[in-house]
Amino acid sequence: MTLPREAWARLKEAFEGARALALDARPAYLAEVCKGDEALRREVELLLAHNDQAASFLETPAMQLDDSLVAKSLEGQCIGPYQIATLIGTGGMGEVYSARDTKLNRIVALKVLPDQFALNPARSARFTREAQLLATLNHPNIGAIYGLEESHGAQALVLELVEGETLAEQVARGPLPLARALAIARQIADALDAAHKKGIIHRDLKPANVKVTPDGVVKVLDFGLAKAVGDDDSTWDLGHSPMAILGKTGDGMILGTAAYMSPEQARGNPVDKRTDIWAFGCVLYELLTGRAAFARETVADTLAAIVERDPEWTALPPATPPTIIRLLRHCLEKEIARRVNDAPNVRLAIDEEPSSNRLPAEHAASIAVLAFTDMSAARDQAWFCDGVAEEIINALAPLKGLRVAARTSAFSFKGKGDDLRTIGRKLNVTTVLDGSVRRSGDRVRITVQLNDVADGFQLWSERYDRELKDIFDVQDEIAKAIADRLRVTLAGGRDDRLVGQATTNMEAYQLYLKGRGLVDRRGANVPIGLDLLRKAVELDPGYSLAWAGVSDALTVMAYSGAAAGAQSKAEAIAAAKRSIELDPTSATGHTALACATLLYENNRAMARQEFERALEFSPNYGMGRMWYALFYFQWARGEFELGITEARRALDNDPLSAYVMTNLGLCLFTAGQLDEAIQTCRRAVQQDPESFVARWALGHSLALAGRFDDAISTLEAAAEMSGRHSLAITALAGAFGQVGKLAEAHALHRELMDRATRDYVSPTHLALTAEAAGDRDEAMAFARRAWDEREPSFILWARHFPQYRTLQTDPRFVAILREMNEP
Amino acid sequence: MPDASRAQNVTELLLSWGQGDTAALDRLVPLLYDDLRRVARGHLRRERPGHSLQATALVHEVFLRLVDVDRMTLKSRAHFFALSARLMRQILVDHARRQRASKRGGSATVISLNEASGAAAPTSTSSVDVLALDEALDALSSLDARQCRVVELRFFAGLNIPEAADALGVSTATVEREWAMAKAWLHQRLSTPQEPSAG
Repeated sequence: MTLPREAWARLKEAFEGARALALDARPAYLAEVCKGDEALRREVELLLAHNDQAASFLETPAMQLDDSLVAKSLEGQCIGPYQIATLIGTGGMGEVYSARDTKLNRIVALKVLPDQFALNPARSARFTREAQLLATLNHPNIGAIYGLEESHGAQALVLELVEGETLAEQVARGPLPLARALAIARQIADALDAAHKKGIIHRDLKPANVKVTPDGVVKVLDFGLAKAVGDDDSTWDLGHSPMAILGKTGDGMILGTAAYMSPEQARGNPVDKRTDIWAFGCVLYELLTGRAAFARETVADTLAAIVERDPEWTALPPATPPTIIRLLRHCLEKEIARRVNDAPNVRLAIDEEPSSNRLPAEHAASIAVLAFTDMSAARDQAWFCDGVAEEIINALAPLKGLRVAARTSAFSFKGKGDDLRTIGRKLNVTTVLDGSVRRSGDRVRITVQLNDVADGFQLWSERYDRELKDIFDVQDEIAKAIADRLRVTLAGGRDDRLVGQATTNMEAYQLYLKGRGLVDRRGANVPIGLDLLRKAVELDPGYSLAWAGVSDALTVMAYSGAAAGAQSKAEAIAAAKRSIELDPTSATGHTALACATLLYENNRAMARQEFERALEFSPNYGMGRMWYALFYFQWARGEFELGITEARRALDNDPLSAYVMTNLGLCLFTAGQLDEAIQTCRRAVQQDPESFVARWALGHSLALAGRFDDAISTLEAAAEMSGRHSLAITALAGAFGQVGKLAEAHALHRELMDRATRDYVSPTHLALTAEAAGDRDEAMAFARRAWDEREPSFILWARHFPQYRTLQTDPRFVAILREMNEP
Repeated sequence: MPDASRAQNVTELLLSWGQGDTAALDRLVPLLYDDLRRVARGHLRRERPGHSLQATALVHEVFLRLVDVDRMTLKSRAHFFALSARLMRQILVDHARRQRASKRGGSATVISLNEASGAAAPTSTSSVDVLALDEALDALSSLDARQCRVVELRFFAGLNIPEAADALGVSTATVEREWAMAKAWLHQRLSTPQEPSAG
């Protein structure tokens, strides 16, 4: 049906009139305006109905629609070892997905380039070259490029997945305080400086390309990508100008990149590092004022403003220091020759401002729960205090939007009397929970206080006087109160518990806390802890965590050579399985099973699966990640780089833990990165001077580096402080053997042989001391016995631990390794 | 032709056209058409990365490349975008037609009504393709030429309301009104069965 023009005019008038009115006012209006013309009235009503349905109809431009239809197709697919999870954006040329790196078991960002892109060889080659150059950028303030992946004609960049908000998101809520803006600007300048020194220009710096991680670290993203994916068919080059892009946000379209183009980019002229300086000026201006320096309603107006207009200087807050205003004016010089010429000069100007030095991680909530102080009369409840605090940590750790310092690191301040500020700085947290516990009989009094690190202000405090059996309720209440004060949203409802009732048997609970604490202290404490844990599961056979504790204690004793593996194997594996049965989502249970199957059964495939499961349920379970790094990657598989990467992640999460540091040191040592290994182990020794394992690892590293005198004195100390633990003795014997002090090595071998007549000594260790003393045949006999008895200490170390290298040259040992590696 | 001198050329032609020289328009159209088509094609074949050419920005890319921003007047800018939008519609419709021909009734560029309206029901039977929209726009054009222009600017060229207002030389309020009615009218027409389109 075609309406004549006059009818159209009437329809239009009636439609527009009605549309402007509220729903209930429309009928009266239409009756009036249509004056009995029923056909017109129906027509208008129909059009109004379609108007309601068409709210977003045609709002997405034609070609962008085409894009989004294609973009959906990759979810769930694999590119190389990367399993694509979800589309997280269409930023910086191409779709960006989050993906799981199935080899390294980490989440990365994948920038997937269009298929056709890879089919153009010249373009693809250029892209590869650019990507290689960009991958050399290694700076804490630059989002890393991990690699380039190709499969089925799709090309993808593998990038660091950076968490946190972009500056665009932050500034959308308003201008930033001066100190914070400058602290961010300084890190951006550092990033630019590092890249410019390598001849790499960003070309597309803007608030949307800068993220601040929950830890307060600034990361500049998409460095140089504009050029890498640039067009090649003309002098027109994305390198000159990263495009005027319209991004869809909220209720309308806003100007994207165009607003941050430099005048030379807007004119299509060549660019150099000073283009980034211009963009830097735009970003800093925006952080301070909350609005973009040159953005206008249309792209064309924006470009005109860039070329012709000055930013509105009066929009800067009155408190802006003159040095910063001068800096901005210099960065935003339209004439490239008059602009600040490099990033170091930008930094100099910022550094003149004393307020710019530190960027507190203030936008994301973070907390350290310190070990609670024992206020009981006998002062004998330290293990209980630790346990209570630890369970609060465990309850808070999985919450989204809250960063929780790991237990060992947070507890390292125990009894040291550091002030809040120091603790906050060392752990990089904004709040600290401190508390005390007083127990007498079945009554407990717990007092807690939550303090703001920056000003010492008390955010919350509470005192609980309860019966011991209510301990889980108290912990749950404390965890929820913290979440509430720190404005962290809980995934479940308010009624979902954060701290579960792990056991209803208070005696079992206390035995568990005490036992776990002892096992964590290693050495001679482990068997005592094991007894307590066994009693705990006897009292409450449904106590999942205690079962995992039993398994861990047995495994630790077996791999350190303190007990025969054959005797504990069945119990260790059964206990781990029982723990998982009782709580299938327990990271602790799955980790226990991973270790037990790896060390007792030599089952690497199952170990890997269990480690991964554990980390899936609780990515912050540091113990799991660390053992995965060291036991699995490093010693079972010899995948040294992967092990180091995982160990570093574990340490990131628990930066003050001597044990985690030691494990990273061992990873580096095994991989032959000796300087760093020695440094790391030294830090571990400083962190915990009483840890013999840290000294043992340091001694090994020194010996492998050929620094035998240092190695021997370190290992002698380790032997003494551990009550002459056979681990330390074997290491010491090895060092003596290497410098030709065979008599000393032999004496140590004798020492262990004598001990073996009274107590258990692992044949693995006897093999090593025999080898050190120069008796190869005896060494081989012990090695054979160790494997035949499936000694966990042998299974753990024989493949890749450096001290086995001389043994590995013997055909008899090679035969053993072959048997070990049979599927 | 290198970009610099092309930019010179297009800029001159736009300025002359703005001063009433209609011959300039005749020379401008093929220049602009070629460029838009090349960029759009590369984009549709996905030879070019999505984001940097996210179609919304496509005309802006061409604008940046072919025009000397220092010399643009308000009027010449408006002319550029109005003309580009019309050409973009033509390019996309041609593209859809070719796809249909090569796929014998294939639906590569079919944008279902539901997808285009943002609802998540791609299996819906009520879908129309770009060609049907093109026909509907022709009908709309005979009733209300300005509404048709608004749809070209918004949907085919991806301009926002103020940009469309600039290109048409009217107020943003006018563009909003026209846009709303055009959408309602097209929505009605495209969801009411018309004579079956080919295939």
